[in-house]
Amino acid sequence: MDKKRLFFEHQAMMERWSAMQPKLRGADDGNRLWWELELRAEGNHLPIRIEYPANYPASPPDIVIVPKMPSGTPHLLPRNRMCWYYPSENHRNRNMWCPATDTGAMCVGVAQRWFWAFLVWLSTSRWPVPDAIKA
Amino acid sequence: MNHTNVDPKELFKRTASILRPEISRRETWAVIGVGSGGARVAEEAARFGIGTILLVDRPDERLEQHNVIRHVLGFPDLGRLKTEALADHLLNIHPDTRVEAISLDVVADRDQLTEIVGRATQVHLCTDNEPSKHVVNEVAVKAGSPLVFAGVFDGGCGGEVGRVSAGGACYACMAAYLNRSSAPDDRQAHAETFDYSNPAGNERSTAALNLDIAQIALIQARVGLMTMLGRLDRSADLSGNYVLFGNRTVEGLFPRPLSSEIWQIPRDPHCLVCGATDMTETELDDAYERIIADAMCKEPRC
Repeated sequence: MDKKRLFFEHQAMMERWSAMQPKLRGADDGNRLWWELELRAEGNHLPIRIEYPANYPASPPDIVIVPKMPSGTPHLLPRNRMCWYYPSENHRNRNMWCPATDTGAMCVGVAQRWFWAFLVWLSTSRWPVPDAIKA
Repeated sequence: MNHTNVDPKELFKRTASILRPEISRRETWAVIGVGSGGARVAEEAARFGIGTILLVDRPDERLEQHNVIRHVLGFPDLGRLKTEALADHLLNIHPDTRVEAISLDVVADRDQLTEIVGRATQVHLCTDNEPSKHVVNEVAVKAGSPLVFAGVFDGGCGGEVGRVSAGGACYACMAAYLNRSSAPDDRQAHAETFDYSNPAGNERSTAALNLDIAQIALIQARVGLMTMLGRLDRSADLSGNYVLFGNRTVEGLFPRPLSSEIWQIPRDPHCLVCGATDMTETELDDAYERIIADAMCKEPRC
């Protein structure tokens, strides 16, 4: 990742979510980077990774849930990734990923919301929010 | 025709006073994406007398039958790489231009993209997907290369052409502005809520006539020409950085067919792509090293 971009990413994550103690991890000499943190809601814990893709920031980060999820979990993409943004890549629209303003830190709020929705789904079998939840 | 006997004076006899071949022959234009829009931009570049044209498209991107009805290439080129067939087509128009056909996935190979953008005096971004646009934008911003991008709106009802130049809004700034940010004045107030990529709000498709695409591509080529000539004469340059053009009437956007607007979209000083930090280069290097060292640390304290 570009030096300036990484600085912005780190700064945004620490300013907004330091209470959650996010840890930036890396591999391949820093060519692959991801955040590790744990979501909490109503006594439940959900460890996640926010992974930066190779072409970041042109494409958004992946939000990967570390533990295996129950079969039939809605809004879950292959590789245990949360479905969190409008997946069309050929058009701009208001709830698409925007490299000018969005960072991996935004994913934490999105993931927290997904987690709450998931807990509601576990007890009611109904997903309470729209599918693409970045707005 | 024997291309070795081309007389440049004769070739540009009817256009030299407008095009200034003495300027254009020193230019290098990179055209990234040579589909129906990009191919037409490249063709115009050859007609402008651009000295070197770099044609870039994805590996194994070949001309198929369904392309022909909207492309400058035709049936004799079916199955050929678009870049190579287009190179022959350009040499048929301007045999003295240097044309390079480059197969490259710009999203996957940023190093080669950086090299291409570094060579170009202008980059024409003619791809049709957002990740590739953002990658090319980022590389062009870093290289300080002028970038002209275009997009045809859904159904070919109109399109946009934007120019990214040093110190101005980058593509990411413009995309953010057009999609979400509040507008600075009443004239552009609809930018707050309008989805410019899908003005009609219809189900998305790629249907558009060749005419619809060509109209936007020709504006893109014209903005390229204005950018080149504008370096010598500012009055020849585009007075703005974003052109909206309506092929057809769209309520709330294009009041009548063939309507157009030119906007000056402001740079977002906080843009994460083109914005600056308040750190020196050394401080940024130090911060980067520290962050990467922490990320790679295997000790439990990390």
